[in-house]
Amino acid sequence: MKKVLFILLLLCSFYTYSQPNCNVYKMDGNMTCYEACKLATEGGGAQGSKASQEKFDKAIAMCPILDYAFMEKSVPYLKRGDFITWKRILDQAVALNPMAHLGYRGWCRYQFLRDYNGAIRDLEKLDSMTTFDIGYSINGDYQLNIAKALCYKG
Amino acid sequence: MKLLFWIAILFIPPFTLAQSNDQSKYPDHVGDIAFNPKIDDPSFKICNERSHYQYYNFGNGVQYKGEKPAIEDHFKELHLNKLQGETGYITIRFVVNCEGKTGRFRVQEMNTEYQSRNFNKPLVAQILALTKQLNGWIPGVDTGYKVDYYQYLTFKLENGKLLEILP
Repeated sequence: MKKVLFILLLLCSFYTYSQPNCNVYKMDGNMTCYEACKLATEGGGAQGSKASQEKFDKAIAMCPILDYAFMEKSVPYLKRGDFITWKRILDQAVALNPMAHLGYRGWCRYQFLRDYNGAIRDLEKLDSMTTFDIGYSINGDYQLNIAKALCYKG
Repeated sequence: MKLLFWIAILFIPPFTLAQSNDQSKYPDHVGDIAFNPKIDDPSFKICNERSHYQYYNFGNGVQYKGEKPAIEDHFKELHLNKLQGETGYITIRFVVNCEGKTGRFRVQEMNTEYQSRNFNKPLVAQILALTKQLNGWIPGVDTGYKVDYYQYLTFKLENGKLLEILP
């Protein structure tokens, strides 16, 4: 039973956050986006370093629909307090793939800025787009419906 | 003439390299704050200009004597009049050096839609002054050595009232 619980928890964390499956682009025959995706997901510079940011820019230039690269490029701005730049870049990821990034944006609005109204808007929109579990916060602390409840409380 | 030629050859490659590096729109690390003689205190010293630690790199949250409650207490001194429309976020980013001293303060003002805006100037000045007065910062420690790091404080305001200090 303990082992089953452990495996479930492990799967849960993978579901919460994972790199994209680049083979999706390959299967579609979109080799440019496949290469861009490989570039964006490979190592190369610490988070927020010049090398890392330029890597994401290159991937985006190769494949402007690569939402993952926009999202990753935005992260250091969030963690370092430049919320204007963070939001401007992340919004592009959300526009390309709302199902993948609305939960993240909503949670970060709550966690970093206590932007309750903005978080509720994002999480409600995500909820309206899915018929199943809306997932967990990026740090795994809360199921996003709980996060939404905390925002309503705030 | 030959000597000049060889000197030119020796200097061209590094110059070209430096040019290509400077062309990047990014600093070495996102959020780096370079010294600005017009606004920064020249007596504030950074122990290692090449270090790029962020406050979250140490896994201890905000490293301040008395932790977050001490910071919140400090800002209780903030006497804000009710200022209609002064709603949004003021973020102050700065460096905590390896001695726990602070400098290179930068301010970002933002509305609730994450757009740049300008708050009432005396209000921003008051928050900045109080932030500069905070003197309980704990230096970062990496492999036994005290290091500099970047820290920020975000103030959530609603009609001039301070609602939250983050992170």
